[in-house]
Amino acid sequence: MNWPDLSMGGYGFYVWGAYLFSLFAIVWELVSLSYRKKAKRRKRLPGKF
Amino acid sequence: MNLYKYASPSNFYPLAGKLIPWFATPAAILFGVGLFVGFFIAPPDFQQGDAYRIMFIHVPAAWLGMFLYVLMAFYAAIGWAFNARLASMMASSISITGAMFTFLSLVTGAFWGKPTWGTWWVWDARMTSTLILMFLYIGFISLQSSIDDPRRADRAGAVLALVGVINVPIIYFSVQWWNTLHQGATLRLLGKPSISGSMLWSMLIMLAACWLYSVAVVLIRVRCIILEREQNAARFAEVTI
Repeated sequence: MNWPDLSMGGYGFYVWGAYLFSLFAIVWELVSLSYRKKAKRRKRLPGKF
Repeated sequence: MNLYKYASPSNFYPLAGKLIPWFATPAAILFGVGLFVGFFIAPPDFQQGDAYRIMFIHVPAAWLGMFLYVLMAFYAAIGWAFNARLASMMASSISITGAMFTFLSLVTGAFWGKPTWGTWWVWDARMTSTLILMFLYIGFISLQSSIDDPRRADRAGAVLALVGVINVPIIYFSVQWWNTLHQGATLRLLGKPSISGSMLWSMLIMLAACWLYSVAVVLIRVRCIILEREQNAARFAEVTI
């Protein structure tokens, strides 16, 4: 096992930037989905599903 | 067991709810394992140093962007041809995750392009065709959102999805058909991969994680769409009857 160099050999901005952006995108998708789910639950008709 | 009964949205809704943890949990575990292998086990590349580690998210995102488009077009076609409501709902559900992965592949590609090619963006064949894929996803989502009647929206979306599917082989073969900055295929169905073991494993594990994540998120979203459409139908029936 090699401990990674946090500066990524001088490419840290690009590597961590790419992963940070990916994390934001995934979190955004999950949070927006959670809001959509909550909104639908609030409007749900009694006795349906 | 009659599988056809799950073609009905009301029967599929509880099944999707039961399936979600079976995809979401392994996805979270595999993301952790893939990142561990990618950052702690895989050595730096002899030419690109550590910059190549962007590949572990960029390549799965690019593959998922293409694959999800084909899947979306397939479901949209089934929904259109057989008037299957659930298939059209699946197409709508897939479109947002597909757009997200395509957008991620473009952005992470730009982050990889700057240190290796010296530029964030060039209008080469693969990047341009991937950008077109992104526009196709946006077009599909916008078209569906702009039409109030879900059936009409599904049909219009299906036409766009089916026309746009021609772009997927163009993306895939663009590195062979034109001179581009992009490297050739890293993995081939026949033949040895062009990267070493730990790098390959990390990429494959991340691909599996992204794939499982996509299934889980698509199932969660399709449940929302089912509720939304069935509620609208119920309200419409209440008003008209």
